[in-house]
Amino acid sequence: MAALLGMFEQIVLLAVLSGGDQAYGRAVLRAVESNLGPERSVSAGSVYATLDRLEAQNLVASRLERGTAARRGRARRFYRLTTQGASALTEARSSLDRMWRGVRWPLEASA
Amino acid sequence: MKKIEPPRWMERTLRFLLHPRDREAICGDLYEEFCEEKVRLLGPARAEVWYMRQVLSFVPQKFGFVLTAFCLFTMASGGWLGAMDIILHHPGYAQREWIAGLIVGQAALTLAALHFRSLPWLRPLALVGCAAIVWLAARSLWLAITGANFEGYILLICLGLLMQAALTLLILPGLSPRLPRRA
Repeated sequence: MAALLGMFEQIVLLAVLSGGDQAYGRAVLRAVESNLGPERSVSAGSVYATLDRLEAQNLVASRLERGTAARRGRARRFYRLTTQGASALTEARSSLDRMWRGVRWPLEASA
Repeated sequence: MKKIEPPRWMERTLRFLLHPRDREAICGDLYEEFCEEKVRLLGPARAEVWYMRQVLSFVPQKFGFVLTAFCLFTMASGGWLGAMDIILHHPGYAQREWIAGLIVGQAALTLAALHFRSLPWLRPLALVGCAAIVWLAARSLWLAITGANFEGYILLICLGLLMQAALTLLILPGLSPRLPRRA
């Protein structure tokens, strides 16, 4: 069974997925920031810690590539979703979809 | 025109906080974001504030284990003080039991806030508790320094409490919701 993903982990995995070939650290950070909106502040520390944890769980893999002059030649770490990562994300989505099925929208609090 | 870059001391702090494996890549990412985006959007001063916030967000990963060590030290010290007072019945020992309880309780609360991150309500409690241990440490330090008998172990426990409070204030507010892979 794939790992149970938290909401922030799903957001980071989706940011990696949407980045495609260009999903390096800064791109992932920006994607998370822009998708959570300006009212939610996202720290680089929490995004990189999440990426680190996801990599330890084999849900993402990374590779280093040579940096550009715009970053003083510092290397870039590119991330990609692994097969396990894709399964975990799919399972998370399926679980949520199952939970939402049959729920009337918009939501109403029961008295 | 001269390119506006993050202050060197902030970059050095960031490098110190990062694991060697990630040092180049993360420093480069934040440098790029600062120079290409944040300076243009926020202006140099606010961009520096943004950069500093990002640097501080790596503190919990680096110092979480140090805070754990200080908490365990003060918890053991508080337990030892309490046990000794129960055994020896020093004058005013009942009051000292409260103090020992406060030390042990605050250390336990801080450890819980640090390691059970799915309970975010523990964090404000631990931060409020910091004020209590800072007050206790400052008062005890003053009494130890100005008192007739200088007791080295009191000084040691007070310094432990002050370090615990400083690290708690530094680490807990920026804690990510889940534990990182490595310290």
